[in-house]
Formats: sequence, C-alpha cells, structure tokens
Amino acid sequence: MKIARFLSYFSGLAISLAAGWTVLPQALYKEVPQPASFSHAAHTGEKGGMQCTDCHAFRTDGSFAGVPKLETCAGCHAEPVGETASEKRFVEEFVKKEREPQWQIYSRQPDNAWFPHSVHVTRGKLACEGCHGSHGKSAALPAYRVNRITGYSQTVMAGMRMDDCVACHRQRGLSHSCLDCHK
Amino acid sequence: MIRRELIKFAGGAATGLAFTPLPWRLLGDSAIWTQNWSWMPRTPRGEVGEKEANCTLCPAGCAVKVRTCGGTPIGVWPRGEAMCPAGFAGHTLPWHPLRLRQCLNRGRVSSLEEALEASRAAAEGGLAVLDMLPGRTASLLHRVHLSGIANARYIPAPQAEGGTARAMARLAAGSVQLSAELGRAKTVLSVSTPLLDGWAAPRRTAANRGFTLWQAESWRSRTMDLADSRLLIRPGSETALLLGLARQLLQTAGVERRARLLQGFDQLQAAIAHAAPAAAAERTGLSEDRIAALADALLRGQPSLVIADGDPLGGPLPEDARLAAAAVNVLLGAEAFSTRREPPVPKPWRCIECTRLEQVDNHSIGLLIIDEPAPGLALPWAAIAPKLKPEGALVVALTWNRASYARRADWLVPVPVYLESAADAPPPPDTGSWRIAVSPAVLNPPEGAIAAADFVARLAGAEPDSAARLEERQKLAGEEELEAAPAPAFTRILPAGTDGAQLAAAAAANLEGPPVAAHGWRQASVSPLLGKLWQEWDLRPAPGAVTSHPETLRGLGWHADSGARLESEAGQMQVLLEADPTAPSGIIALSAGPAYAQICEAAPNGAWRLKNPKVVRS
Repeated sequence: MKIARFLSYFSGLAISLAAGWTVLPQALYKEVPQPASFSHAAHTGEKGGMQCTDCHAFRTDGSFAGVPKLETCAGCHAEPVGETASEKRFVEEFVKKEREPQWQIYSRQPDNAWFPHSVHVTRGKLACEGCHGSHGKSAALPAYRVNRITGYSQTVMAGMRMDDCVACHRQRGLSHSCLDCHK
Repeated sequence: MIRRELIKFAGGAATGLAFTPLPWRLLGDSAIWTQNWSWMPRTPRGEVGEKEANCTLCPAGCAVKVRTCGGTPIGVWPRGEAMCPAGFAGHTLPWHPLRLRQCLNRGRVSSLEEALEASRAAAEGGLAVLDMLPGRTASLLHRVHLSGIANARYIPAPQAEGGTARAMARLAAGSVQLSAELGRAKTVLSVSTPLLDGWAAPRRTAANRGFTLWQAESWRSRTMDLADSRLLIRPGSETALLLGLARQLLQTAGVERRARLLQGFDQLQAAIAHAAPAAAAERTGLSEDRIAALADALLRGQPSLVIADGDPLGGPLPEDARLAAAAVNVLLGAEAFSTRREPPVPKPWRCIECTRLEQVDNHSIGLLIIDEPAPGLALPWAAIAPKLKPEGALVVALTWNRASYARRADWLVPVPVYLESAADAPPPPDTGSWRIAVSPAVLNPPEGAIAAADFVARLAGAEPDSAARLEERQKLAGEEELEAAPAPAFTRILPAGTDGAQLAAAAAANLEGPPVAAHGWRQASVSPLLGKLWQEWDLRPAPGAVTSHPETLRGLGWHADSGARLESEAGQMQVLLEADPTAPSGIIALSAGPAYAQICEAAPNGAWRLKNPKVVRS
C-alpha cells in the first residue's frame, strides 16, 4: 500500500500540526499569580458606581498614573468594607502593613514605545474598552500569562502590538511614522 | 522503527510545523527577546517629570524642557521655539556606545588619582591645556587655575566657525570680539561654508532665515541646494573669487573712495591687480557677468555679509580666503557685524592670557591636557604633535568618548556630558546678542568622571568647585540677554603685514593633490540613532562616504561602489566610494566625521589637507 509507506510521514505531520496549533502555543506562556484578587465589576457595577478614571487617573501634568498606588486603595479600604475573604486578606496583607502590591500589568509595553494615554483618551476620545476590552467589568482578574521568551503578557501579544497601533492610526488617517511612538 | 521511517517522520513533522504559527511566532518572539537583554539600558519606571534647561550641544543654547521618568531623561523638547534634530536626541548622549566611562591608561583600566599623579610629574616639563570648545565658563576656569601653575599655557582650539569674524576683528579699531549678525543681513554670500547645514547655531539659522543666500562652493552641498543663487566654483578658487569680487566692488565709485582712506588699500590693490575679471572667471569657472551680478546683488541688498569660514568637520578655509572675505566685507560697509559683549567675570578670577596654537613653540609641551567636552569637535593631530616634547611628553585627554584621541593620548579621563553636570554653551558666532545658557545636572555622571576644570584645579592644588563657580558667574551675569554693540570703525582693509603679492599668489596657486571637498555635520555625532535614521532615509551620507563623478573616480584610478581605505601620511580611515553621474566633475565630496581630522595635517595657511592621499581597496 502506498499510504502505508508514508504512514510515518503523515504521523509526523499530524503530530506537529496538532502540537503547533494547540500544545506549544500554550507552553509558550506561563501563569504568574497576581498579588491579590480584585473584582473590577464590584467597583464599577451598580454597587460600586465608580468610573475607570476614579482610580486610573491622570496626573495634573496630563500623564497617566496607571494602576493606582496602595494609598488610593487605602482611601476606601483602610478597613474592610465588604464581607469577602479576599478583601479582608488584601487589607490585612497590604493596607495595614503598608506594603505596595506588585501588580502584574497586562498592558505593559516595551520601554521604547511611547504611548500617551492623555492624547488617546482626551484628544482621540477613545473609550477605555477600545483597547482594554471588558477588563473593567470583569469579576475577577484574568490569569496573567507571560510569554516565556519575550516577557510580555498574552494580552499585549494578542491585541496591543505595534501592528494594532499602526492599523488603528491608518484607519483613522493619523500619522504612523517610527518617531511618532519611538521617541 | 527503522531509520528510513524516522526520517520520514521527521520530514512530516517539519512540514507540519511550517503550517503552524509556531516557527513564525518563535521568530517574532526571539526578535522581541533581543530587545530585552539584561545589559541593555532600561528606562526606570517612576514619576514622570520635567526640568527646564538649555541645550549646550551648540552655541545657540536653545531653551529646552527635559522630560524625565524616574529621574532619567527620556526626551527633550523645545521651550517656545524650534529645535534642531540633534537637540531632540541630546539626552541619549550619556549612553553613546563610544562613551568613556572609566580612566584608561593606554587601554588599561586605571584610576583618576593615578592620572593626576602622572600628570603632576609631567607638568614640570611645561603644561598646556588645549580647549576644544573655548568660550565656556569651564574655559575661563582653566585659565584661572593655570594662573597658579608656573610655565602653563591655555590654548583655545582654532574653530572653523567664526573665522571670517575673527579676520574682521583684526581690521577693527581696538581689540574686540566680532560676530556676523545673520539676523540683520539681507544678502549673504557664503563661500564653502555650510551656512544652512549645521554651521554655528543650526536652529536659529534655519528658523530665522530672512536673507537672500548666494552659495559659492565646489560641490553640490545641502546648503547649495537650499540657497537662492548657486555659484559652482572650481576647487580651491575661493580666494580668487573673493579678490575678483573685491575688484568688481572697487569699480563702484563710492566704494573706491571709502576704501582709499583705509590702511592696507595698497596691498589689496596689489592683490587684485592680478585678479582681472577674466583671470578670476577662468580660475573660478564662473563667467565675468556672474561675478559682476554677485557684486551688484551684494551692493544693492545691504546690509550684506560675506562668510568664508569653511566646514566645522572638513576644516577651515585658508587664511588668505578669510582675509579676502574680510576685505570684501569692509568694502561692503560691514553693517552686519556687531561687537559681542562678554558677560562679566567675577573680579577675584585671575586668568592667564590665551596662547594661539601657532604661537606655541615646537617641542615645548611636557604635559598636554586636551579638554574635549562634547561630540563633533576636531583638530588634526598633526597640528598638535609637533608641539610636544620629543621624549617623555604626556597627553591626557579629558574626554567624553573612546574614539577621537584614544590612540594619541596616554591617559583618557572621562568627563560628564550634557545633562550630567551643570555646564554652559560657548558664545555663538552668528550673533552678538547672547546670554549664558546653562544646562543643569539631571543625571549622575559615571563613577570616576570629573569635570575638566576640576581636573585642572586639582592639578593646581585648588579646590575643585566648577559647579559653584558657574553658578557664581551666572548670578553675576543675570538672565537677561546681552545686547550686541555696534561694530567699531574699520580702520584697515587688510591686516598689517599682509603682502598683497602673496595673497594674489595664493589665489592663483593650484590645489595640491586631489580636490577633496570634506564636509560634515558636527551634531551628527551626538547620537548614533540620528546617523542611522539619516543614512537609512538617504538624508545624509554616512561618515566616510566618498561621492564623485564616475569620470573623476576613473581618472584617479579609484573604483566605485567599493570599500576602501583612504590613507595619508597622518593616518587612514575607511571610506566607501560611490559614483554619482550628477556630481560636478573634478571634485571628490567626502563626508567627514571626526576621524577625518586625524588623517589631515594643518597647512601653514590654517586649512586642513591630506598629505599624499591614496585610496587602497580593502
């Protein structure tokens, strides 16, 4: 049989196709735990009623403060305000000990990329969801999966790469030369 | 499983992998991985802030704001007005690949104390400080500290920029510092000077250009492309053009009447007697009518200005060309020149006099300290070497980099660069109005770096206090700009001792060796990123690029599109020969970096030249 003669070949082909599309891409990433659990939904939903910018604020000079510091959290959570174990743990472990949690940043970009939030949000009128998706409504922090080779998160690799920036700028007819982002 | 089956399996696996995202993903990820190697400099995460400063990379001293992240500068922006590209990249200078970070003694890592000890011993044989960027507060401090050392000299390195103004100062009544006021001129004749391409204060010249520019040059430079009128002259015919122009001007009644009253008129007459219109036209390759039209434009478009400085990296024009340019300026009334007021110097500062390099006797320096604080400063080593004692002379380079004097100096001592210590810009040669422009210390310099003035202070046994002294001078001078004063009367038309016949002979002399038009952009050395961008976008040739007409290259026996070594008696540099059919015939345009100066010798007339150059294929 001719097919039997090429059985080894097709086996290798099938195995590598399966591995290449399923197993190895998963193996490329490792999960790194966040220092504490956090529910965006609890803060931004009906109960919390907060806006993204209440915590992820712009400084007076227009620069973006990013993930809030512990003092912002401590403003409301000097003592637990709810009943959840995770909040109690956060207050005990971080707020009371004044220990800054080392959050893993899903959207961390390379140092050589210059991304001013203020220009995109205030002048470009982009909604936070445009780039960050439904992150602000999530009930729990998604797993932080970091690429073993590049060191960047899967979130960045999936939808916040240079190609995505360029595509959006192209679509809106904005300039997209090297020096626009790589200062 | 037999071997054949294994090979088939591997072949199938390899084929399958090619149709998965894995190999392509690995390629991309590996590329990103190379951006994050541990030894690559990283911007620290932290508070974003801004500091007000002045860019001291060129004499313009542009007001800038430095954006910092976690205390590290990450960008420079202009405050108010425009800024040149080098200014935007200035904050990368501390991380330049050629940056000197530790004391080296002939390539061996050493310490500052050892360098000082060796310097003290050698200073007994006669100490000289060669200041590659004169006019700063650090330059004054060198002179202050040297006053406490016996047999010490301060030598300001000759600069191409401002050469015409210095020649003019020799014609003025009294001792003054003159500046060519580009902002006041309506017509400018630039002779082989890159006026719109990095000369003096690049931003100011480009942003405030309100004059009609005539560019006379032997190749198609960027300034030539941007000029209003272009005069393509033969190589080495600058003096002939200027003397021919002087003759044309003297044929105007008013000009001749005024010129007759000035000293040196006879010498000028003697020089231009040989510069008959036909002779000047033949020497320059221009028509007589074109020279007459130029003279007419300069007379009608007053105030007009003639600048014949030469190129900052390609070398100054010969002294005779600068003298002839000064004479033409005086004939034109010299209305666009002004006297530069010097900011006050604190009274207790006692400075020694400046000594010009050509005044220094040969074999008279036992210890030469070279102060090279910024990129893009060049002086042929062949002009310095004869001044050193033949035996036992020590050369200490207080420098920012490991390139320029690394092969010549016995000791390399690192100095802080822009934004690493408080420093001021030198006075601009293109305006008489200026103020002390200071850049503050935003970053810490590398461990072991010392301000050049502090090194000399320690040698003199004084307190190293250059930062405090700069503050003292800045306070005394205030923040107000010093307005330029009117230029004094010009009592001469040529300096005393000028021989008109010799000037005429210099104008008629043929160029020695191949006609090389060396040109460079001083600020390009600030950041390798700039050079890379410009070269990749074909905005500028890389240092070492040689462009010429194919016929010219063939005539010299040089092969186009090949890497080669340009050798002279002083040294060698790598070049890339390129044929350009649109280039003027008979001229070799060489993009010079600081390495070019090291293979030149300084001719007696002040110009740089290649002695017995040859190109060897590499």
